[in-house]
Amino acid sequence: MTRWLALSLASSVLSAGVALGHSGLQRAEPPVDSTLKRPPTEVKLYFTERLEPAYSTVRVEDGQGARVDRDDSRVDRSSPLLMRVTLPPLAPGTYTVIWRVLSVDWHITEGRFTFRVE
Amino acid sequence: MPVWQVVLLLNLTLAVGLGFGYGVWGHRLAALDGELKTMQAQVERLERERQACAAGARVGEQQWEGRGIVRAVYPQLLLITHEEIVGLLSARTTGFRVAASANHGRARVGDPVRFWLHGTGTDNIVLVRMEPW
Amino acid sequence: MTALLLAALGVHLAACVLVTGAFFVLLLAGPPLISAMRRWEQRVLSAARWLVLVALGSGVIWLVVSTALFEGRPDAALQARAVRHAMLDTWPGLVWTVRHGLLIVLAAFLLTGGDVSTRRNWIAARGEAFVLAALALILLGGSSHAAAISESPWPLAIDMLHLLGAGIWVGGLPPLALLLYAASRHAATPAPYAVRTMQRFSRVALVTVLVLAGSGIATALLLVESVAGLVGTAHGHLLLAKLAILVPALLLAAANRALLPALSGPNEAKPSATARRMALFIALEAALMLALLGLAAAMTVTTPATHGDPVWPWSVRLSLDALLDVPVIQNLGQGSELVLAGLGFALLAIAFLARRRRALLIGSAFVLVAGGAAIGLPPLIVEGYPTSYARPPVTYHAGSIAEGMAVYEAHCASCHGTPTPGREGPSASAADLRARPTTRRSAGELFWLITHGAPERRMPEFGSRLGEAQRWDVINFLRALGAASDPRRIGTEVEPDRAWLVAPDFTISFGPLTPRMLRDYRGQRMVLLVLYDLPQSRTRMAELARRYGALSVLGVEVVAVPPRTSPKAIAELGASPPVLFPVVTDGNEDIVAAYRLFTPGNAHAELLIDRQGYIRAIWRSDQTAPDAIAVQAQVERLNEEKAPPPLPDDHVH
Repeated sequence: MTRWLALSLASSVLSAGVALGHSGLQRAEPPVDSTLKRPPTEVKLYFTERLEPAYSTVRVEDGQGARVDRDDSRVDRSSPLLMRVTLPPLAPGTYTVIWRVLSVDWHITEGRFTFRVE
Repeated sequence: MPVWQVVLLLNLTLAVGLGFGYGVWGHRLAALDGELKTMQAQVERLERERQACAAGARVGEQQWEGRGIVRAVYPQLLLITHEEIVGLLSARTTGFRVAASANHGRARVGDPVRFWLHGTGTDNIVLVRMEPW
Repeated sequence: MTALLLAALGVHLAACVLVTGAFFVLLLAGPPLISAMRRWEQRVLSAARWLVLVALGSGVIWLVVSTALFEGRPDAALQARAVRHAMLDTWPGLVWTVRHGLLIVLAAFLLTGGDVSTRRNWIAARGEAFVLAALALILLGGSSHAAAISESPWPLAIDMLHLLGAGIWVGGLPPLALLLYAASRHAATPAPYAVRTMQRFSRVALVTVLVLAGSGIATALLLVESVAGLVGTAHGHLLLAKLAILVPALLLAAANRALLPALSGPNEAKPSATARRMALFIALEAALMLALLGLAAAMTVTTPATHGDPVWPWSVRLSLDALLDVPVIQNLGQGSELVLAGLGFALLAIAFLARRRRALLIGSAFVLVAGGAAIGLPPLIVEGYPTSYARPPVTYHAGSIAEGMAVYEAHCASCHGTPTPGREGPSASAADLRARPTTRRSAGELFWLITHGAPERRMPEFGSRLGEAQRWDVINFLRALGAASDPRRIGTEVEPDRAWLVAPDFTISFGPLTPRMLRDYRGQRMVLLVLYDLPQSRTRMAELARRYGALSVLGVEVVAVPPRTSPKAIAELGASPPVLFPVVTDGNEDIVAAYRLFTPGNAHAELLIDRQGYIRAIWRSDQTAPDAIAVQAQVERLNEEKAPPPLPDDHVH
């Protein structure tokens, strides 16, 4: 029992704080891992927890790691679960969306996904 | 001073401080916010009037720019499915009266276009110029 | 960094709880009369002063470490500007500021003296301290998981109630233990002051424990939601650990309750010895509950179970979907097990109320319940895999389904058959993926099978050949395939209150205009999705163009999808009558591929999607051609529906 307690405590401590991957992101436009024929003008991310604008950012990078978005990422005024950033016209290729958000319960989550433009 | 009076005073101070502080600052914030929005709208309107003037419109008219796809072409009317025209209309399909100068005869159904409107409000806008998007 | 945060948070929470409990017990006990009890009160007050300072200090460390985590760099912890930004420009920081303001006021109040000799002054002093401490404690709920997840104020209020209960019960245990010990050290009978306090606390504690249980269950339902979340995530494990610690603590509390009459009865021998034993039990209980507070603090920095990906730890799981596999005879067995279980619980209730033959009643109750479980549970047991309850990262949309179809055709069709409903089935050994066992499996289960294969059925593993996204795409395709092959057919008539076929999401790209998603129409308008091709659809498209106004007013948006991507699609529809509804000019192949699963063939087809996102009616021109009157009648039927079906999820299950 003690060992199980210690193990669960250890695992909780290790997995606490920054959570990577899909946790927190409900869905995205363009959808995660999708292929588009026409480049999107905006990336919209819908989260499961209310966001804190002061520390929430999104950026979009191209295949070489250069930043391609317009650096205007913001939490939507009418919905505290939505974050958006606008994009200039994109050339065909694979792009990575990298997000790092603070929710109102002190929780920082970050993650990334890709989409392709043909 | 007896302790119970101190306690009463303390609670009153906290309540008044928090309540009034929130009320007053919140109110000021809301007022400033409203003022900012009005200022913004005014600046945008003046900018549109300036643009209309530069394009040769009458006094007091504004100019709006829109983008959309042509759905129907008539001699005096153009039906366009357009995106939001900032300061005028949200995204929808609208029939715009066309001025002679617009030269819209070459437009075909399905063409993406950029267009400019002159007028003072939603009741009397006229499409004055358009070009392919 | 996280360990420091956790330590600071744990200490802070414990300090706030202990201060609240200390003043609660002081108030409960009343002004002390004898010197031994006055000494006890002074000791508790002095401890409370230290605890408030500890709470302030640990709170500052919590803020400073959180600043470093927010900014993503450790040196931000020592930069005043960064800390001020975190404190004043974020909601959690604001909550922190208000709470620590209250703690500072409390510290000042406690450190300045005051004459509390009269009863009124004493009550004012202790009461004010309790109110300030309790407020500082319960406002923690303002920046909790419940506050972040829910828009309504109820989860917040329940969380705050839970915190108050913890403050009163857990925080009250140490001063209580100290009281009983002090009251019985040098006397044969413990001071009546202490005995009275213990009796009052016992009554309050009963109510408080019930409130804690109720609020805890309500919050767990919000944050954990499912058994998978409980056993498969770190957050769930912490909750289980909390419950595990609670059991011995409650047993100790029950033992104390049993000892209570021994404190004051006239015939009791050695009441002081009893009081000292009770003090020991309470001290042990307090130690356990402080450990539990540490776990609670850990839970606040862990992702809530509903938002995590549960990892199922066992090789079997219970599935209610499996009930659909069970033949009718066994269904009768299901009914009988419910009856047995019901009888068993009734007997249990009688057993608690009865005085005699308790053992017999309880024994037979357990036999009945166990028997019911033995009959009723086995059909529900299915295989379980670690990813059984994983949430797909890819949403249910046409692009994913089309990609999944392509992957299926390339890798799976050789054994499992061609991928259209109603066509040739699979080879003998492979499962028919349109039918029951597959549709009953969860998406996570399918993911495991595709990734690791099923060696006993000679299915190879695809984890090394297909990317993760591709595997999820195949699962989205299988779900669409299963829905399309479902024996419940969607016809040309809307069946009221029967919405089950989810419409896959897709992007409506109309020329260069900002694209919309089908999902954006949810809650607002119905959508009539028209899969057309020229020249055979021309008459119908002209009719739709003329009728569009009426349909629009009835709440329908028409979305036309030609078979191929082409910017000329709008022009091709013609100018007379003018077509005013959106025509998709991009991504057509994916949309058609996905929706043709529901209307196979190339004929003109129309699908009526309701406001919640379910397909409710399908017309095909080679069966029952859609016409204006028919479509409008079904739209009116949908408008008449009183209770809309629940919104479908964005991901498959």
